[in-house]
Amino acid sequence: MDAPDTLESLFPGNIGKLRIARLILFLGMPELAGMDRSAPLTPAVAERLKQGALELDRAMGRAR
Amino acid sequence: MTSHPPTARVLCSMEPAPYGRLLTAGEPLVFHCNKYNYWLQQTLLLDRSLGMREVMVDAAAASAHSLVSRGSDELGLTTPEERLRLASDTFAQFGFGTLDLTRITTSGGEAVTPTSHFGQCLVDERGSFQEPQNLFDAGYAAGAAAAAYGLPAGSFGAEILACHSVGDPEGRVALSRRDPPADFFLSHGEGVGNEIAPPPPNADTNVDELGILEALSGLDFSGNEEGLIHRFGVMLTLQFGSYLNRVVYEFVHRMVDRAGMIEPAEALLVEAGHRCGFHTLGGVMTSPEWDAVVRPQCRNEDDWIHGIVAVINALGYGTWRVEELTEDRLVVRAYDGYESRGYKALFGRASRPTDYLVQGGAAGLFNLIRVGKIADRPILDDAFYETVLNAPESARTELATCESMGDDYTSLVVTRGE
Repeated sequence: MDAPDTLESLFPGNIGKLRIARLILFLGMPELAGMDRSAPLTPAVAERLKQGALELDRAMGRAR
Repeated sequence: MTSHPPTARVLCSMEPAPYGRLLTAGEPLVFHCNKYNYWLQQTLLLDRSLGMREVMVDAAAASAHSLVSRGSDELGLTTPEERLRLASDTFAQFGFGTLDLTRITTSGGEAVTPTSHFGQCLVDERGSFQEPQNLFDAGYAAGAAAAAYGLPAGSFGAEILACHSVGDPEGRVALSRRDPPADFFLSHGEGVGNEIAPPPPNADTNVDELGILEALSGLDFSGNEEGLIHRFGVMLTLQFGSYLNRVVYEFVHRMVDRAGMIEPAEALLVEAGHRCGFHTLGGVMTSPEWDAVVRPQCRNEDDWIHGIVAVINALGYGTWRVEELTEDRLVVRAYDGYESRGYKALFGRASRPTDYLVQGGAAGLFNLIRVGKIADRPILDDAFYETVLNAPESARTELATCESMGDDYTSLVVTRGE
């Protein structure tokens, strides 16, 4: 069984912290700012963040 | 005809103002690259509910209206045609692209940008945008048209019809009269400074700042025939400080009311400055001009920091002075920066630090020199940026003081990470 996603695993390092800041504004999720980066995310939150990151890349003209 | 060659442009004089500022027709100007323009704009547009697209259009209109109105007076331009040409030529000279306003009448019309910094130079090669990015162009056209016809700044609405950034072959903006004119904010112009003379440059270096400033004053930063400025490996613009301040501080004010949002918003504004420092200053430090003028004076890594600070002092950001420099720490005093000057003019005394751009820029230059070892000529791409920023020793900047809060100068304290 795979380990649950965390903020650190999805968005590692300082670059990841800035990406979370963008997602906070983009998705309207200020609660992300106070979360433990190593704490397991619920599957629903993890999926929302993954999907949000893809949408953010498209909005910023950076979609591959 | 959509663009005049650089040598034939109708332009206002560029006035070096006290303490390292640049002015034209009373408008403060600063050099900014496509990287900063991209990251700033993408930050401002993250939260669609803020309505920042409209703010950006209106802010550009206010700056353009001020420049064309005052510039026309300065040059004695009386007809709308002459004034529209001043607007188009200035757009090209400052690196924004080419702007055809010849079809604009007192009732409106269509403005066309065959080339556009915001339309073409923000686009990452990996994709294009979902929404037009030429918001500045649209507002500039609207404000310039109003000034050309002697109308209030909010007299024209601007609707973007096409933009390179979404795949169109050119930018097109429809202008139509707002009757009555929109209740419009105006450019803050020069802003409000402290009028405190900076001390002389730090003497503990082999770098001759005055010599560097003199050498840079001979460089040509005019937009080319496409109205674009290719320089230092980036695309430069000579941007209106009044535009930047209006959009940034309007964004901040709209965020303050939203619980938990202002901190990430400010972090991203600082990061845009870090990107700016990284790419523009990195481009400078790997340029032939640097090799010719500054590098021969540099006998150690500290000299690189003094050298790039000297270059910054030629870019319209006010005057920076190195107060303290060690292997792990840099303290810079920034005098008369456009951010604090603009904030004070717009809103009065600030209750929290407001100088986001210089905060990021100072960390950017430190990281380039101390962490990224720019002297070894790394390739300044996204992968390198991420490597440097993710390094444990990556530095960050705190603002110990800020002019907009009533301090004599803004104090940038850069500290290397653990």
